[in-house]
Amino acid sequence: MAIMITTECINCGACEPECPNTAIYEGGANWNLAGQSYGANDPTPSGAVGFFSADYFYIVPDKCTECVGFHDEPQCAAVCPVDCCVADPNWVEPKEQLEAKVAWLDEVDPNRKR
Amino acid sequence: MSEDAEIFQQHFLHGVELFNAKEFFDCHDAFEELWMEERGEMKLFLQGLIQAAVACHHLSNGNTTGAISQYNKSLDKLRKYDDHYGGIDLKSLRTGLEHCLVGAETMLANGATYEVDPKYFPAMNLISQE
Repeated sequence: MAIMITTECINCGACEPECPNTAIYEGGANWNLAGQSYGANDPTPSGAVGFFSADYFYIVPDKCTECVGFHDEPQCAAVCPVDCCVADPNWVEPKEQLEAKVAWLDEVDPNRKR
Repeated sequence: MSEDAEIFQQHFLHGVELFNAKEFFDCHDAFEELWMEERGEMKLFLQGLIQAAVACHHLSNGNTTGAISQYNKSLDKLRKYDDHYGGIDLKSLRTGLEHCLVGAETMLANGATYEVDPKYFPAMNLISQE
């Protein structure tokens, strides 16, 4: 399951530097994957749309592994003081799928990691 | 009082001042700095205060849905503590937050967003330490 940021976000920016996949972007900012820059209306390779936010931080679902492969729990949720990083009901993925996503990201975008 | 405790107290009082000045975003920032360093029951208490400030911030900006959720999260935490925990009158703060929550729910039910008079928001009143 990918994590999403709700409209309770106060734009404190605590989550963004914690994401090991660089899946979190500031509201209105373009997102990147495999060296390409994408904007508000661009779908992800898996076809995801509607995740972009012009107003508050947002998460690119194709890049979010819920920290599988890096940490025991999603780091964005762990550092969010308002508890607004929550499981996205539209992107339910079992652990095996998240592990496969890590492998795919390692292949197409190995430089994404921080 | 140790040096660490004194520094904590200074930052905490600054957060209280900002809340009472209705500077809710800055207040959340001030408490967040403390929250990141704390552990245990004080950490949860500080998170309750952060969420109270964020709720008020959202309500004053017309984000009633966000405000309702944050008021609920804040109250869930602050109800776990004694009425004078942290040196503030928590009972009156909780009452004030509950009042704001009802207001936000009314706005949402009416499908309208009203400008909120700053006086509507509660204060964090310090308990005298005698």
